[in-house]
Amino acid sequence: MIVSDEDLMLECRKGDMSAFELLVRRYQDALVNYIYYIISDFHRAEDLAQETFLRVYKSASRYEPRASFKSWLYTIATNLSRNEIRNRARRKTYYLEDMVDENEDVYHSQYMVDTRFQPDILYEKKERQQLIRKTLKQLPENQRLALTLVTYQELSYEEISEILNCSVGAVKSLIHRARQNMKKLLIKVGIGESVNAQI
Amino acid sequence: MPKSKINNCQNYQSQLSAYFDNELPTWKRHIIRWHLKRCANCTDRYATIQQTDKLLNYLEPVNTSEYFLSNVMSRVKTMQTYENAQRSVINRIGSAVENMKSWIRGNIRAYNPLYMTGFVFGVVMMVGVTLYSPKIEKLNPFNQSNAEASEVNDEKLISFEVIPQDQPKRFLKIR
Repeated sequence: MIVSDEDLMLECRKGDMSAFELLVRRYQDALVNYIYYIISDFHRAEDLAQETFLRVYKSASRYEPRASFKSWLYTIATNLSRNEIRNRARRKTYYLEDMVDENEDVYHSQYMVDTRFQPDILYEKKERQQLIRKTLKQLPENQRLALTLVTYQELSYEEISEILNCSVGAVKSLIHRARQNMKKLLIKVGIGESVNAQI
Repeated sequence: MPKSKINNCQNYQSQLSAYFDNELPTWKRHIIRWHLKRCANCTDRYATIQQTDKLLNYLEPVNTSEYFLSNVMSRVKTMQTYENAQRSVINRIGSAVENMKSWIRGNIRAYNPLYMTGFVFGVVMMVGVTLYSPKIEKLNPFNQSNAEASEVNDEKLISFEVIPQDQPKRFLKIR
């Protein structure tokens, strides 16, 4: 039997650490990926994901299962990511991953150690992923958030509207514009046209 | 292409993203599906959305480091011990206040108006003495001697006796 997130959170409110651990296990990968797509820095994304879980634990005593736990969790993560982007812009910080293309997959590549892949295919795949990631980064903040939430986290428009604190209609148009812009940007970098042939 | 047809298509195209994400009600989905079968332009647009989504899904998810969970749990434990320590200090202060309250209630019988009036009067007096002590000291009969003494001392300090030097009765004759 699968226990719902809300029930786990209520258990956590009573002080059950195993319930909290289960929640972390459930969402750690999704959350780190989400933040990583937003801020484009893997190690910082892990830090922010940890911070998100700590905030969840801190406010567990005040938790009321009114909205879904998932929306609440992603709202915290989104706010932290937004703050990070703003702080970075204010400090004019540049991360190594933004500047050096080759550095990108050093830490977390699964296929770097996999010898089944040919080096040229591996390189091509890596390069394309890098381009997509960079293109995604060029989108306006809200469009990027909405597109990431719907594409990678598979959240509904209603959940996204709760996270971004706007109406469902606004989310609909945000995602529509994000996809249009994304398509234009992908064509600009040269991978948008012959997608079916490449994949 | 006629203008009405363009407007119609624009309406459909703005809904295509939501149609792709299964976020439309069934009746709207049917209408759009029906339109897509007949309109090549909108079908192209829909194919573009599908393509973009395919490209976006080309990104592979990264794996969290193996120490992520243990890090989170250890940070939570540290936070918990800190909070417990903080809570114990707050609890101690709270219990001290409670003890004081019960002591006051037990001793002055707070519910009795006579005792309550006495208690309030006492508190007012204490506050008054603390705030206006210099004025009250003058009225205090026990402090009178001190006041006098201080007056005398002031006099001593201020008054002084002038002793005129007497003229010598005889002058020495200088030969």
